[in-house]
Amino acid sequence: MHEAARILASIKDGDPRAAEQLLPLVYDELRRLAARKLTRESPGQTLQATALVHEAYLRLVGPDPDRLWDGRSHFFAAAAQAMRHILVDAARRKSRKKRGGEVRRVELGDQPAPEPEEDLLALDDALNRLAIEDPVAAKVIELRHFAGLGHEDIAAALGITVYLARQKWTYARAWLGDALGG
Amino acid sequence: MPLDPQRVQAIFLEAASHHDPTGRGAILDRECDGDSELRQRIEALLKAHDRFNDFAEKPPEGPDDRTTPWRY
Repeated sequence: MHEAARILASIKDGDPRAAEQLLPLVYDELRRLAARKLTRESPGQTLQATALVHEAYLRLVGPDPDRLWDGRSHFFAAAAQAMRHILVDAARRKSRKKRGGEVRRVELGDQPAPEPEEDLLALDDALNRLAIEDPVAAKVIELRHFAGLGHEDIAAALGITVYLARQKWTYARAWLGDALGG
Repeated sequence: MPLDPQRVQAIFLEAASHHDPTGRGAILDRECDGDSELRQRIEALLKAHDRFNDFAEKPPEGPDDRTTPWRY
């Protein structure tokens, strides 16, 4: 049995320390996968992130999702958190590198397009502010945006009803839309 | 006095469930009751909400199906 599958089984059996063991394991696996794929310059990192999370699940837990349904939601909660951290970390490094002058500045007549990494950093910052007001709403966005979960999986991961997951999604999306100016 | 986020959320969700301006206006009139700061906050959220209205509320199904509207 894979180590992650064993941890998920322990969580299911009520071992409180098991959840703490899961995050570093998921984080390391995602960072390895991300290092291979996310370093390439390309748009649509969200989709890659979602794909990476599912790839990590298959590698760490195995191809039988129903068997560990309870643990599955714990896995995706950890993965969304890890994925957010990895992407934000990469965006910070990229942003510093640009400001540090390693890239030669070219004068252009047009306004430069907004930097994608700055959009991600703004989203991360806004999510932190939303979490102070409503931690569940911020988690809903994290699970959806960084792990690609649907409302039912989000509800299972957070231990809330699907109805509430939808309500939180509606609120958080509007909150962030307002905070980020669309 | 700062706005109560839970109250803002509850009124917003009730108003957002109505798509017609009359229904929304009635909710805002009733719930905000002359509190212009509260009303402004909820109207700002509704404006953001309406921008996402044509955005499909479903989990990703393929590589082109974006899960959230924020691009980076």
